[in-house]
Amino acid sequence: MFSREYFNYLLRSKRYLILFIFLISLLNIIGSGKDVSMFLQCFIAVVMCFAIPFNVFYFIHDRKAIDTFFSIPVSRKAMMITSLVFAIALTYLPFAAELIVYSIFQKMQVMQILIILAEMFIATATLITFNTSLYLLANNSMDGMIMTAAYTCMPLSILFVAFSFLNSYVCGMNNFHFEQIGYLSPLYISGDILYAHFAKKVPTLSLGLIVLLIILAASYYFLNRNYVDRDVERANTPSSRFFAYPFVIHFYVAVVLFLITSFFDYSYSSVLDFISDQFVLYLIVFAIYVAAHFLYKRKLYFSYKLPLIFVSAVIISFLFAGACRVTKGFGISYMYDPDDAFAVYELNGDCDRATEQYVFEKTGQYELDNWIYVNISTADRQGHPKESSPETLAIFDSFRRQAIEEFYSDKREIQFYNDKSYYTNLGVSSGNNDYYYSVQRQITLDEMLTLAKDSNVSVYINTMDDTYRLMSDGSLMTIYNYY
Amino acid sequence: MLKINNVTKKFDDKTVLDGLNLEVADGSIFGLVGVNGAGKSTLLRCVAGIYRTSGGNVEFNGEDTYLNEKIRRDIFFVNDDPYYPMASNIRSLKEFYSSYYPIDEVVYQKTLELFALDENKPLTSFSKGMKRQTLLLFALAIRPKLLLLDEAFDGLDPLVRHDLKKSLNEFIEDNQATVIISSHNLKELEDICDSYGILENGKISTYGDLLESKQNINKYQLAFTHDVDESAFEGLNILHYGREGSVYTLVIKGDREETVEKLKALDPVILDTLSVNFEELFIYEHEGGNR
Repeated sequence: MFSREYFNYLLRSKRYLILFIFLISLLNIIGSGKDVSMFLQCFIAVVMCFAIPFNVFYFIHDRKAIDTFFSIPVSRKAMMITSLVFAIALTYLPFAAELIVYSIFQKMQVMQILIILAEMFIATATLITFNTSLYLLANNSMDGMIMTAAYTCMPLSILFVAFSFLNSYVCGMNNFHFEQIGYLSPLYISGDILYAHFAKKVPTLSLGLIVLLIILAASYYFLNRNYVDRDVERANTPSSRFFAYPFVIHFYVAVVLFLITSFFDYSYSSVLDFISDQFVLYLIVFAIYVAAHFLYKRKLYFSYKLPLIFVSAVIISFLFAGACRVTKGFGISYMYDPDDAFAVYELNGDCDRATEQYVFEKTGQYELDNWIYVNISTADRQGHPKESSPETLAIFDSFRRQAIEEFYSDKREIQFYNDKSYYTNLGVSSGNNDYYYSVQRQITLDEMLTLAKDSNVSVYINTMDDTYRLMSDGSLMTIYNYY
Repeated sequence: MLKINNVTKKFDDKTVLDGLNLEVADGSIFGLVGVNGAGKSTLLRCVAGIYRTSGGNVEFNGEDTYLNEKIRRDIFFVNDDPYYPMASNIRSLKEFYSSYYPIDEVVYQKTLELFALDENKPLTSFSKGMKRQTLLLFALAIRPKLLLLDEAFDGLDPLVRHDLKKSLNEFIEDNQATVIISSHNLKELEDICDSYGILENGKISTYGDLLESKQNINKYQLAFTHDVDESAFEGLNILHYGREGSVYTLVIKGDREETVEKLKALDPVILDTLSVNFEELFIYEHEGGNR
């Protein structure tokens, strides 16, 4: 399964490339001395994980070269494995050499070095195999590079559109973390593993490593199909396999359309009004969609299917948004546990008239245009979470539920109090995620007095910037007084 | 022995080879002819194990040429547009090919001299003909048991063509090798091939010994004092029928003596029998197939 003859040929034919790579690595090691940094070497390794497959497997996109290479007495499987081994070795060995030098200067433990070396070997093998399988998905070299770039950027674009869409259509979504999407990208996982080591974390068999191994196995399977079972006569023809241009073009068109739809708000506009307002934008996206087909087929191409598919995609994006709205964010709006006593809750907003009277009486701050603003936090003074009582949690949950109801109501109305719109905002930090709710509701005196029992309740009076803390017995302690 | 068993090759919806069967004996030079796009190059690539067939298989000395890479040590394919790696020269190509094939140094040096090629000169500076000569140099020096030449004579000057033919004949005599040559230049093939096959509609429509076939197909020129209708020639295997006034030109497939007897029975005032060359044979076979 490994051809020594072919490996020797690769060594001979790529000798200048090998020399160049080792020279750069050597210069990096010598140049940095004791301050050897892994950054440049990591960067070189990443670039090589993309560039080396193009260099080693380029011939598969050249009809003339195919005649030469596939007629020699080496099986396709042996040729593929030998090329992979060569590409991995060429990328990994300089990196490993620099890592060893770095670890010596950093006085790292031998076991840790071995683990990093092993993990980085898996990462390099995965990236090379993954990128090669993408490069061979296409039928010509340029398309191969486009496929590699397109698939590499897919997790990022999913992250971007999901963030934008969920922020617009799922109440409470704010600063939501989507680390899981990173697991679609071997590049992200590899960087994450390496970062974990250099941040002095204890190396463990992480989930990322398992995912990398799964990606490696899947990439090898697809590479096998794209290389060993390849119909080589397709070289230099349009890349028409389903997962090549047809999938990539439609994926990115869907991403853009969902991104546009994420700016649409059912409460304030109708779909037709929105489309009419954004017509030029849709027209540009459609033009790009048609142009992408030109790139795919290398000729001017237009079919009735293109506008049909495009319009269908637009409709689907709005249907999806509608479904998201009807189901109140597919249930994601209720995602955090409202009984999580150790989540950090922060409520700030306006108070009702009774609360204001209470505060003015206690502080003697009677002014006609005075109003008060309240900030309630369950975190301690250091910002760490502390336990909240069920009564406190119930109050926060009632704000959250009302916010969700309002978010998905047909017409969000702006209410006014003393000629001023009022809002109360609830922020929740639960687990790795932050949730944010905005509700048109005033905080009542009862709520404030209940929350003061186990939360920090700060009361601000607008005119003088006076700040008080509401104590658990209902008294107000002056924190800051203008006079 | 090369055996092509019911080979089909499809490119998407287009069937280029359609259940093609062919046997080529050892030690023969087989001329593969066909119109443009008939599938000659495709067939040679299937034989060389480059293309996977859509159906059927190709065996050389009992081994499948696609599945068994070892048998490909005995096969060498010279395509119509040779590939050379960047910055390569004949010496670096020799390194490449010597990794996979044994190279006969004596033949290599002799052919290098014969073609007057510089081993160290970059191939980028070579003309198209010289590039082709380079690959033919390796084809001869490797001494394969099956040599596949796709449009081998294209771009070669008459002197080199002559030398190449000579070298090929020597090569076959020495090695009992099989050579398949596809070419548009049928005059070139005529001098060198002993058997031939016409590739038409994805199949070998006609094949056999070139000399026998040429003897079996003849051109007859006749003149009559009386008017003779085409129906008068019924019973003869006519590949081509032409008439200018009272002069008739017929290309008839069949035994020459028997045909002459039949034509004499029609009482022509003139009856001339002419031999056909390979090019005419191809044209008339092709025309006959369409009649």
